[in-house]
Amino acid sequence: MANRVTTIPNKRVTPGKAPVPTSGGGGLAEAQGRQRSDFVETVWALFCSVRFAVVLNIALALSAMLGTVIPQMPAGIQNFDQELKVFLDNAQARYGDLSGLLHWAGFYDLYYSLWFRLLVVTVVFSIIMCTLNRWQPIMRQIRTPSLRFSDAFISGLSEKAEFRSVPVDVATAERALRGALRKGRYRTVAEASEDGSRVYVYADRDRWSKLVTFVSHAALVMLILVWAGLANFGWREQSVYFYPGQEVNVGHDTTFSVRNDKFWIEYYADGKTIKEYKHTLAVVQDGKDVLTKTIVVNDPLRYQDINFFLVSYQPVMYVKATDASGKELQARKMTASGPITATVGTAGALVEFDQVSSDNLPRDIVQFPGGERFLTLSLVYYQDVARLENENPPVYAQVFVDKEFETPIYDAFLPRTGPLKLPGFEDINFTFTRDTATVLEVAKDPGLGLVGFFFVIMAGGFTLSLYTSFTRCWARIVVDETRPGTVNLLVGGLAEKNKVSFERDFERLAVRVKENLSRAAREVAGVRTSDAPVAAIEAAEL
Amino acid sequence: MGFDAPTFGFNEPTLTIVAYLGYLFAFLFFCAHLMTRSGRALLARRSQVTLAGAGAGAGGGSVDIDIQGQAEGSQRGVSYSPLLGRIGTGLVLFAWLSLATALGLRWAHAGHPPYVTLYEIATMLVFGITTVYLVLFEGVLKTRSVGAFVVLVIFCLHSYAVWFIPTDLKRTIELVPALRSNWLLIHVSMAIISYSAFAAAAGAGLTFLAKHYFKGRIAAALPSGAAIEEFMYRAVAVGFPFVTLVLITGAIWAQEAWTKAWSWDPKEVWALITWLTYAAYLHVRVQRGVRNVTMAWLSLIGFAVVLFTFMGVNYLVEWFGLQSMHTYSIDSGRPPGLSAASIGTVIVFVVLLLLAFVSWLRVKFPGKRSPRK
Repeated sequence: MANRVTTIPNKRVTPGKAPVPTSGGGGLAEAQGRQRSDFVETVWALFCSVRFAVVLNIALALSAMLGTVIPQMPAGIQNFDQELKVFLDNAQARYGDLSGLLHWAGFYDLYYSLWFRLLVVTVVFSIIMCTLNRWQPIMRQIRTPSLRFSDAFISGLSEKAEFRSVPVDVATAERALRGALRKGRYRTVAEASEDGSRVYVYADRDRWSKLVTFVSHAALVMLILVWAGLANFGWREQSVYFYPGQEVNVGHDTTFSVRNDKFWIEYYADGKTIKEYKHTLAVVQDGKDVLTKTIVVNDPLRYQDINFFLVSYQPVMYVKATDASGKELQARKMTASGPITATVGTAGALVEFDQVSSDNLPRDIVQFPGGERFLTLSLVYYQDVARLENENPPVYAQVFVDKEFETPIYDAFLPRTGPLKLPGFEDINFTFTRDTATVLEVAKDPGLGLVGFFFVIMAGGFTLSLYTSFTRCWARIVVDETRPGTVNLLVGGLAEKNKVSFERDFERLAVRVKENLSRAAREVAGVRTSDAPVAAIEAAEL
Repeated sequence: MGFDAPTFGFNEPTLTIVAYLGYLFAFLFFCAHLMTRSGRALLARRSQVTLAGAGAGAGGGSVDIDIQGQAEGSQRGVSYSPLLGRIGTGLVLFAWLSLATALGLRWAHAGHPPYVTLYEIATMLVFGITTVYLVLFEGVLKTRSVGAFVVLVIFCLHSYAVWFIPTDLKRTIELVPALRSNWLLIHVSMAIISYSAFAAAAGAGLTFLAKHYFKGRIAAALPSGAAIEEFMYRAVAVGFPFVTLVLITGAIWAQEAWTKAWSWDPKEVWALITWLTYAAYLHVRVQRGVRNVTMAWLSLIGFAVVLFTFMGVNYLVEWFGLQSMHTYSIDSGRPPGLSAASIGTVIVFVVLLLLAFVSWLRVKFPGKRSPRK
């Protein structure tokens, strides 16, 4: 017969419920005040409830899910009436009359809508309340544990062991028990009755694990708050164009400029699949290059806490018109607001392709006023048409004279090589040089390190919470009235998590207690080699 | 690019099919193992009754013919033929090694971890769940009883990868510039580990439901509900820290490559939903003390969310015209797989939710039904 480690099926131990506050009688005002305080208490209790927190958590998950089913507006579209209208027209086609309601309720910009933000705030508030609400009971639990217990309490514990009629005195049994507990990393406290016939021992392990939850939840709250707060401090320029060789100051009180030195694309061995976009940028401060870096998608430029990300690129070219004497003709670029004189670049007028053709292709219009007549070049870039690096760019050109926009004098792709010659204007040479402009996103995101810090604390906290368990044991040693000179020992244990491993752990503890008791009993009996006292314990158990 | 190029006489598809067959046979052996186990268990109970009835044995009325009782948790007095179970485990190990070799060959051939296309992710997940099963259930918890159910999950997922994804989408592809980062290995590894652990938890959840809803031979064969429930919780406890790391590493990577740590991309949102789901699971269990069938259903709902996160988002993009920056494997703008698969995903999802609701109703209003026999 082994030591009597009795395992009773798991039963939840219900800790004593807090006394329900009772309200006494009173006048009308008092009753109203009571009603109000009842309401406050109800709300308070609601936010303190883990059940409500879980419901909020699910509500948050479901709301977030909605945003992946309903197409969301691209960021910043509200500032562009035309794009916003296109988006809403598409939504109207999809959802019909419901579309207006969805728009009003913020479902097209769900994650930034008032109600979603309110939901997040409520979740955060609930986490704070729930966590604070647990502070007092947990502190009471780990600071002032109750040593004395009833039989009903111990029988409700999942793990327990009993040793009857052990031939030692109470103090010796207590030493043996506490020794075994200490070996199992327990901290022990004992309380003896006045006559010394009864001792209660309390032991616990990993008390700090109860506090980890405060750390991880605080980190979660801080993470959300800091992240939300930081949005007000940083700034972001979403598409800053860098034409070749151009130096751009991004504003926001920065004291430096950034220059586009070079952009190129690397391909895999098949020559078609893009391997890397590479972009060399130089930081210019007080007229001097202070930093040069080739950035790729996964490695942005970071200077004075400002990040320069490569987000896109687009083809540009220079067009230069020279007459027979070699004199360069002045070019004008046509924009929606009228003609402007192109000034950038030395290789000719910069064609940015910043307009859109009827086929939705990048397009630009350049004018060359010369004497009494002027030429208008409408240039459309065809990305899918392959042209070699040293050839003219894949651009379809239509050239008009004066205001005769119905009858182009040239209507074809640019020649593969050599200058463009126009009928009737043979003495003018149009030469084209291709280049690439890049589009960078420039952002200052302060305090992301702090967010990361809280994130790591939170993750570490959750892990610790899952893998550590506050473990407690209660024991009672009483003099066995039926057999003088012997004691009865009852010990029970409770782990808050990982109960299966605690089952094994408690078995080991019980074995240790038994060994310690046997040794103590042998020493009391003055027998060192015999197993007699052990046999006595086992006989007593029967 | 050479999905079927032979290497050392073997090629990746052959090894994959070998692994697939390995899982199929492992499943059959595990089922047989459970059957023999239940037969012996019933036999044991009958013999106990006989002995007790005869008033035999002053030393106690129990006959302990437990062979691996210690290893199987708290269900003592249950027995089975260990050989079939061992063969099952052997087959799982064999399939795992075969798949590891296939993935290794793929990695070496492509020059990057097999973490890019849907086929690669699905296969990695199969590999990951097998690893979690072998390490956590067979190694740490020393139980084989959930094997049949976990291998069923693995087999279904591997079937999806092997049969549903067209061959031309199984080829390795070159990394696009945005994926050329060390974070690919770190971020996706975290995702594979966490999703695998959740899948293993779902396998344990299925085991629990089998025990709960099918009384008789199968239920008798399985360990106690509390033990299965603990296995499930342990698997979730492995997955949760890793899914948190998925969010962290994803945010760091997005800050570098996409300019913003968080941009409410559908995949990000679904990873967050996964996190919230398992956070709810843990709070319901640890704080509210809920156990048993509710937790089993929760683990299945959680896994449905996981499945949606890792492949459903691609279908969302197709159905609802959404934009996602995570759809790297889509060349033609259409997600791979058949429409039957997408519809199946949704049906499974809806059915799981409905069943969970019904089961909650039954727990909530127990008086309305006749007691279960």
